[in-house]
Amino acid sequence: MSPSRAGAVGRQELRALLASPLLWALVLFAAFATLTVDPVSMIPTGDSAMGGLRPFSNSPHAIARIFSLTGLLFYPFLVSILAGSSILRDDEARVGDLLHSTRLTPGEYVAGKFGGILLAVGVVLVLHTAIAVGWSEAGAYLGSTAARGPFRLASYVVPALAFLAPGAIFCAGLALAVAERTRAAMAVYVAPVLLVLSGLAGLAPRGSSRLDAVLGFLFSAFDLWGTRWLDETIFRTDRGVAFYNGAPLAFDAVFLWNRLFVLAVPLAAVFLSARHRRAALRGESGGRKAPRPSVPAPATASFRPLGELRMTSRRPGLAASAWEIARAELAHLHRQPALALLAALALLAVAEAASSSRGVFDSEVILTSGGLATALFELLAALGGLLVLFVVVESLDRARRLRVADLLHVTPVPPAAYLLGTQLAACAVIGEILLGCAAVGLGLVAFRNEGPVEAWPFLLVWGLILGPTFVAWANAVAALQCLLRSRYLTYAAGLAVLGGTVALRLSGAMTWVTNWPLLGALRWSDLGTFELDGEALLLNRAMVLGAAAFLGAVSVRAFRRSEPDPAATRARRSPSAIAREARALAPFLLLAVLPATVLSARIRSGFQGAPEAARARDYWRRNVATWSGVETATLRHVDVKVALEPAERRMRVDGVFVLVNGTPAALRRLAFTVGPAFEGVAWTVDGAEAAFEDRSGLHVLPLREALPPGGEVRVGFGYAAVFPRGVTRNGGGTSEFILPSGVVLHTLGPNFLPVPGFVEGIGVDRENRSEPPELPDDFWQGELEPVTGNVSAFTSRVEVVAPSAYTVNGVGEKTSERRESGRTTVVWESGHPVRVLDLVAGRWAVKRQDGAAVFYHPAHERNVEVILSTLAAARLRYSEWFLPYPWAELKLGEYADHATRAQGFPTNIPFSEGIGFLTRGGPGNRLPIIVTAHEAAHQWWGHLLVPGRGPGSDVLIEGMAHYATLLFLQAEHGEEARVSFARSLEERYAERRRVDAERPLARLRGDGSATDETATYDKGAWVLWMLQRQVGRERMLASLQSFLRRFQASRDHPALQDLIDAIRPAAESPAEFQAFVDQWFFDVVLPEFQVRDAVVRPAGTGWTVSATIENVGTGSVTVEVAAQRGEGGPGPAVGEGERAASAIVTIRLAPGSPRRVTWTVPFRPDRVVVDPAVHVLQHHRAEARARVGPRSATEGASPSAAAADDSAFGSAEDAPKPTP
Amino acid sequence: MLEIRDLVKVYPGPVTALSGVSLTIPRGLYGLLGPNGSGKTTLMRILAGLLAPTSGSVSKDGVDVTHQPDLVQPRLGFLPQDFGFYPELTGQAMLRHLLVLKGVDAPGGLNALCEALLDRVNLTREKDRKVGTYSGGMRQRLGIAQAIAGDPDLVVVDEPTVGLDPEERIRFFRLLSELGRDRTVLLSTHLVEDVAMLCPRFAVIRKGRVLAETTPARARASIAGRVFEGFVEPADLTSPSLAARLTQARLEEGRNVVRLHVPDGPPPDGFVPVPPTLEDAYMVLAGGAAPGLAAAWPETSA
Repeated sequence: MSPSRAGAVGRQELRALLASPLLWALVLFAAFATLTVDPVSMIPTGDSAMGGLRPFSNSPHAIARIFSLTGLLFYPFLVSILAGSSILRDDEARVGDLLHSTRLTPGEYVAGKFGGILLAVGVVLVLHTAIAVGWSEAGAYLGSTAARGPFRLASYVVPALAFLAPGAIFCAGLALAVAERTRAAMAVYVAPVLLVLSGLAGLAPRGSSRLDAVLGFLFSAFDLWGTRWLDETIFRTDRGVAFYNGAPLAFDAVFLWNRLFVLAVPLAAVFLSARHRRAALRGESGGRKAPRPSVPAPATASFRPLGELRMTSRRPGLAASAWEIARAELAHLHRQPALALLAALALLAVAEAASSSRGVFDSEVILTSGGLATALFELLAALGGLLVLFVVVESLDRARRLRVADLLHVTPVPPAAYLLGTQLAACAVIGEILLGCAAVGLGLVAFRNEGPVEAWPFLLVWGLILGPTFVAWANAVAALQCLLRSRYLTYAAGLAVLGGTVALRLSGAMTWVTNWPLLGALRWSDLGTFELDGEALLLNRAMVLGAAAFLGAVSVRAFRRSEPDPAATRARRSPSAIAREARALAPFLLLAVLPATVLSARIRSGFQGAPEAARARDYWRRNVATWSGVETATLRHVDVKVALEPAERRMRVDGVFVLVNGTPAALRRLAFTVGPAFEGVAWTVDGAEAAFEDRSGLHVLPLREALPPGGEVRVGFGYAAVFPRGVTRNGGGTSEFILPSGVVLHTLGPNFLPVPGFVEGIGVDRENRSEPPELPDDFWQGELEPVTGNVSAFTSRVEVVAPSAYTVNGVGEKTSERRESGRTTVVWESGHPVRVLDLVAGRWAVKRQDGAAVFYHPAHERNVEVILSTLAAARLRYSEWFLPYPWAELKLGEYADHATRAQGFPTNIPFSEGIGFLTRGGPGNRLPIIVTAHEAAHQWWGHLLVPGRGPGSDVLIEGMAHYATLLFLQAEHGEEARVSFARSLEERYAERRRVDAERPLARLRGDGSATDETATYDKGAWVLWMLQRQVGRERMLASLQSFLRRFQASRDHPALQDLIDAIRPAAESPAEFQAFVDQWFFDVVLPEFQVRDAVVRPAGTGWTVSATIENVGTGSVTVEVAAQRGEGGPGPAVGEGERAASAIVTIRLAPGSPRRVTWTVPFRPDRVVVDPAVHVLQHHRAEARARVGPRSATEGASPSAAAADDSAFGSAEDAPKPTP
Repeated sequence: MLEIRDLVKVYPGPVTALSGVSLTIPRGLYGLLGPNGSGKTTLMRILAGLLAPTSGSVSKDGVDVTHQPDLVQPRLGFLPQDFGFYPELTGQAMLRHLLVLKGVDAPGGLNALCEALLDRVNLTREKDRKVGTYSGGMRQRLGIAQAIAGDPDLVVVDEPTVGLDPEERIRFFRLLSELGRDRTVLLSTHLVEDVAMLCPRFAVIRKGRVLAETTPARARASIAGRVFEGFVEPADLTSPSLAARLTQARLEEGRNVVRLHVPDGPPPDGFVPVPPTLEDAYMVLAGGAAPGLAAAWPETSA
């Protein structure tokens, strides 16, 4: 190889690439990403927004994440197109034969090209890094909660070299090889699609199936930008802002091997390309097919005159010519192997989604046709969008490249036909892929036999809803191509549009008006198809089709069959010419603007619109100073009549509150917060019409006579409401609604019934949010208000009139039901006093068992038996463990998946279809059981007992419900079920907690953050479980019973400290109990165990095991350590009792004090496991084990040596003891 | 009739490709003769509506079509100088595609018409082969087939005989001469022989200007008696005095035979007068051997 010749090729390539708009587009994209990404969003930042430690905008971890994500999203396409174009450009210029007629060898040619590409990519990397340095050091932290750390060049250079460069080299080498091999632009473009999608898919957490393991391995191997490695190794488990700010990037062996692999692949590809080119030039197999030698044709042709053919010609019509062009394009596209690859990817995605779609708690979700179509909507939109971009650009450019344009453009075909034909072909290809996907989806649904096999949801979602997106995008791409007249500029602009759309989506600023591809806007429900946002969907599609017409008109006007004269082009850019064009296009623009305007108005007037937000803010502004925290009369009885019209989203409510003045002072005014949807509100006081002041949603009623302490007043009210009003802002859901599929209403907020007094939280957003008050340590010793609902329990009577097709469930017992003129009137009375009410209605089937009833959509029967038996068993179990259930029946009603959640209101649990009814069953999939058991537990923890307002109070609701679920699973489904759920809670806690933001359980704020939530639910349950382990199960349950009895009907509402005090007497060791409480309730600790040097040696008839155990986390804990063999434990020769006694030892471990533990077991173990029975909350449980090796010669072999080991590390009082 | 008036085309650069070309092209075969880079292809592309002129006008049968190629294209047969096909289509499929887009039909149907046209250009045996495997000549013949399809009343062919063997060239000329009986056929070429064989009238274009417009006979007559032929030594071929007057040179039995145009005075020694050919006349004009000669040509419009 001649370096000079290769260098000449490389220099020429570098010059060409530096002149390419794509290269500068890549620099612009990189700059855009650098300048717009908030460094705070790149790393876990704890409570930096609230005065905590602030992350550095220029820390190596923040820079690495920005580079890695920028690489993943922007580099593959542009680097691939740049690299691929270097070969394709020479093909189009037909300089190959000339070049290879010189002494230039194929190897030199390919090496030179690759070198030139790498230099160009190097230029981009240098500029990218320079921009990152400039921005991160100068401005990134401005307007952000980030701070600027000390400048270190290595913080930029190392991430650029480690994360950006290898991926860019991979893309360049691969694209070069693909272009050399196929000479097809489409193949070059498809490769980055696969790389980006696989990169994004690699970031999603995976299950534990064999397929997931294989996919996980592949994603790790092809983790080009280190995104997955960063996510899994550094960021998934939060290490705290101090670590991310100060620690250097530490690369492990896995990462380094991955980098080697990522660099080796393109080098190999380039080497093979050189060989392939050599073979192709020699005409050997593997190269491009050489044309068959021309056989001289015999002179048989006739010389008959043309006239006898009697040819005629007429101007072809638009449709006929468009169809002909589409036919030719389609035939061409069908020959593209790259498209087949893309289609295969789409089909694979369908199969993967259908087989392993995950829901909450990592549950496997049954995908109905509609669910599957909606779940894949975004992926197919992204794939289709890229496909349309590539197909339309290449098709429009193909005639020029192949020099057919002069023949085509002198035909009298209307210009629109070229554009229409091209777009028809692109859409037809996508249609074929979607049809294939639908067929695969239907086949899988039929094969699984888990639901009805319906084709119409695919037709609706992928055809009528997704189709217009592709039509509009095809027109947009054509318009860009016609205006820019450069395929590469069009690619840059097209990718910018797609990237901008995704950025808008991620920013949260997207609405139905700007969400042209409907990203994240669709929620499927088998109960009511797009009933919440059907109108918005229709208007959005009309808008998109209008935009398609406008863009189509733009492209037709900009399309040039003939090459314009530069002077004429200048004239066309004059203001008057542009004005003329604008006038001509205005009617088309109206087609998009009109539906967009209507849609915008509907969003604005909807329940998520700006006026609604302003009204809520006004509510807060006008009333917070006057009414927040003001004691008012509380409910004693509620009597309401509700008329429901689900088809019209309408209700009419008339009712009476019986209120009592529980305050020590006389009340001269009563205030009620009313729902924003309430219309025509009228009030009465003790039967007389009452005037009121509307303070932006807080209605203040002056009383003619002051209500004395203990006095009672009857306040009547009446209003109508359409709820929810209008459409959502950008899809999404709502947990309260009146819709044709059903009704869910409750009194936690004012949407159903007025709420006495000022409601905290309404009108509070990021701008005016404040932290809850820091209360003194003894805050809980006074009387506390309830955290939710009325101050004291009340009774209720709710009469509901609804169309007879609906079953209506309310709180308490049904005391009457009658049907008349197609309407059902049903009365629900609470019986036992409650603090909140709800109303759930639907068109249901019902199953009942042992005081439990499940109301469900008839097509969702799959898990009904499980849910029903869980509900019945939970009712019985909890009645036994906690307090007797005071009602005759516990009901659960399914509702459309407008919110994927369940809420345990008294006797009546609304339960969305997506959180259990559509979950695949089996030992590993217990979601219906878990959610049902959790919500059933709220009958006790949340209703029979309502905690007081204060830090940590939610643990008494959600933590206790999870703890009850652990108890329930163990009792009903065995220890394995309890362990499995406990592990899932532990994993959730480790992933969601933010080290810097986590507060002790007793100081949790209930601020809705992920950290607060996981501590409340997951850690709360774990701590209660560990507390139970310490005091004993029966003592714990007895303590809980007395706790519940004490506070059930009390005006005082308990805090977490009350619970601790209630359990304290049950503890055998007050000191240990207090240590436990101090550590787990008033401190944040998380043990993390490591096992080292685990060895085994024969000892008489058994084996002696030694291992060093260390708690590298925080907190001192007592934990079991087991020697195990095989899947579940020791071999068959050992009896169960003997095995348990000898295989496990219990030790106490403090942080930083490793202990050498030695014990004898009657079998030869193959591993040592810390906490084998999953009783201690810990970090990285998978690491708390080690394989046992043979004992080395340097270690002692006698029992005394073992004792010495132990005493060398541990204290005498902590000596390990066998666990019976 | 095609009327071209003061046509100017300036490319960015600026490069002037046409500097006020005016021609009147009657029905029948008409040749456009000129060296490479003379502006022939630019003119052809403007006439076909593929290129907008900077100024000037083109009218056909009295209708200005300069900026309305739609008026010409339905009845236009065009064979560009440099063109390609979709390589994955067969010859017949490609032709059919183009015929559909041109709106061409025939009583026997489109497929039969394609076969007949392919037969006219001797591609019947190759009709089912992919165009990507065609030789250059085959591709040219397929291009000719699409250009003569339909009922064009204006046929514009730009360097059509490139790549054709002599037999195919003759065949093509026959087709063109048939078309030229009752419509306008404009043949652009740098081969004088083609014009001599086909065109009753032709124009010579050079550096974007029409140097002359006449008939072959008149062109020859304009230099009659002033063309001489003789043998020269190889070394003399490069002498400036000879090169300035040279119109043709060939080898005959290993000796250099040259033809000279001697506008006045006696011929060199050993040279004898010969009847002038069209190539002699073209070379005299296009080579600039005799400034002012254009004015001497009858019917010169430049």
